[in-house]
Amino acid sequence: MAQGLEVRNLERAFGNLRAVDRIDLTVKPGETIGFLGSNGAGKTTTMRMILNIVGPDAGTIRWNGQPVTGEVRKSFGYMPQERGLYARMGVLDQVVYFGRLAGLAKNDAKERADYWIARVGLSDRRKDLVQELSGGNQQRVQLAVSLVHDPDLLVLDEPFAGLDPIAAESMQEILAERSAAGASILLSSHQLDLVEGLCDSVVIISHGKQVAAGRPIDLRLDTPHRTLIVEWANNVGDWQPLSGSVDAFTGTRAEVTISATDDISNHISHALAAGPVVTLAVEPPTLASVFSDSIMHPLSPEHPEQASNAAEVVS
Amino acid sequence: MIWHIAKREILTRIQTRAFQVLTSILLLAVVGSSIAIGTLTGGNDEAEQVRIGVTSNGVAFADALDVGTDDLDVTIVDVANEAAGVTLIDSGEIEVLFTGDELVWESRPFGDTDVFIRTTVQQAAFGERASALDLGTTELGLLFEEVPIDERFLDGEDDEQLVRIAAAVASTLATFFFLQVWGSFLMMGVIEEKSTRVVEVLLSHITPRTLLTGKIIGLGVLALGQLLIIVAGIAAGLLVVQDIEIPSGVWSSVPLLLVTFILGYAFYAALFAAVGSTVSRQEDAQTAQLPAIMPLILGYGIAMSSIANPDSIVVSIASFIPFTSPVVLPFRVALADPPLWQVALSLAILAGSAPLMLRLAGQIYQSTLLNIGSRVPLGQAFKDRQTAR
Repeated sequence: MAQGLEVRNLERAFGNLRAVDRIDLTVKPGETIGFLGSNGAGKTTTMRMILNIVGPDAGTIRWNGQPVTGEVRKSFGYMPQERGLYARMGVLDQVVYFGRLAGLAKNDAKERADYWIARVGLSDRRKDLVQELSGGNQQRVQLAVSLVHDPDLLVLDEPFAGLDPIAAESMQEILAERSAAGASILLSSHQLDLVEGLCDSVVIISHGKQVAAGRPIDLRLDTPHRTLIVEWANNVGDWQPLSGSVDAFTGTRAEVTISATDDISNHISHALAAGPVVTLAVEPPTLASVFSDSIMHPLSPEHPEQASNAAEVVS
Repeated sequence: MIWHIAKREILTRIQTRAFQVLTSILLLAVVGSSIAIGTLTGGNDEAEQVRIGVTSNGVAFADALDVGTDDLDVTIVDVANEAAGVTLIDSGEIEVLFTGDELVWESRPFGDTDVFIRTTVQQAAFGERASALDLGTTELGLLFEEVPIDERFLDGEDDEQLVRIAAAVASTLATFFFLQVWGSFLMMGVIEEKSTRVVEVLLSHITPRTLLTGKIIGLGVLALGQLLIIVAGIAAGLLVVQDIEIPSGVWSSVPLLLVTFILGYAFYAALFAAVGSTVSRQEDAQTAQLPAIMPLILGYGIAMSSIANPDSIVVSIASFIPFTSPVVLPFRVALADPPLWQVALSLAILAGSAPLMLRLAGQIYQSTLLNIGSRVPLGQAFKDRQTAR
């Protein structure tokens, strides 16, 4: 029996707009999947369909091989993109309330709400109204709300938006801990460095269609370019690379885009020949550049299976 | 699950200033008017005290005057002469001086005392003259036998009618006011959940129908509680007024009022929730609630303009249509004595339409709930209502 979340051929249109067009996703227990795409790509709609907030036109969503019922959904936790909290309700009351809606018994809900409010660092604000908190602190309450019932699946829509670096790090820690405890996590974010550190694999969608999927490092390596970075001790004047295009050159430092199939040793010898080298690196493109490339040049529609299978290859 | 939602609605609503202010004002109004009615009528229950100074010329009538009436408690004060009597009036020890051929007052009198003294003196004089004419008591009795005169008003007004009109107006006002106020509260709650996006988190756990039902029940409990306070206050006030006889129909219309209110609330709450779900901002609420407010105002207008004519066909028809019946039916029952089967039919139609409205509103609510941004035209929402999950 398949474990975790399985989304197959999910479709949803709004009028003439195909917001979600045959999306596949697999999130196994203990796995964290990053869901990437530009604004309006269909991430939020997909997430809402997983939570049954929006109904799909076609496709299946299964949890542990079974259709998702209301009872099953009680083990899902959701953090929407914008704050979804009652402004004039106390922090503790709010977390307890959502815990109870997720089916927790009264004392249980109270205990866990206390735990999670402490965990997100808001113990001293637990009696305050949500509207009295800063945006970042409201975000923490939102996280506590999505975690209070100890969900097996966490769906987080832009969880890092608006968080300061310290708060973002603390959220990363909590997510890593939930993942280690066996939770499946699906998150969307535009902070690709965070995504790369946190996610086992990513799925990139554009205009409702999947355009790339895989482990971040695989996606980065599976590109035709590399970046060669050389820094010399002295000025090397009008140095030119063997091949490729120069992105930046200061006289002592050069960044060059070269082909992934080039023999690196030739580039290295060529750089060494110009003078004493202090730094030398050959890196695959960043996830951000993979992201913009895949959105700009999506896979041709003749090979949709190439895209849709990729997620499973990794997981 | 529904109970959790209802409970949250009750607890948070009770804590809002709007609720506290509204309840205090209603309580004050009810208690205040009860006290006012109580004092006004309570004053009439006690007989008026009047001290009549009588000089030697008037003393022949003193015994007759001393009897007084139910409303007049007379004390006779013997006065030596007119001058002494005037002094007593000045010092406030007597209200009036009777010298046998003159009544002396501090100023022109109000009330019944003047008439009482004159009639009593006349009657005593009749008795004396009758014996002078050798008329016996039988003849005297015949002579003064009362001619019974009833009164009738062409506009049908009498004490009972007044009470019935008061009951009709009160129940129409109360239903109109409560449906509108609590419908608006419900709508504001729906818009709040939409505008804060909390609805997304809610819907990840529960269905829109559960959410809607919970909200309607929660606010309904409070609304009914408030209405009961009003009814109890009015009832207490009326009980204080013992000399007004309350027609039994008024009491029996209280349970009817409550039943109509509960059904009407379910119907209108659903409607308010549906129109509320078509907007995302409180600023748009005014425009959005028109489709729910208009029929309420229509029903209110029909009732209020038919006080003189409660048997009209318009009132009858309006008491069957579920959009107007919550307001018009209690009015019609209090004022027009409709046949029982018609009342039952009205209630049955309302009871039947409330679940239909709940269902329709639930569908509109579901399809528009996530539509954040500009207002969804109600017609569009109606067309789209099936497309939600």
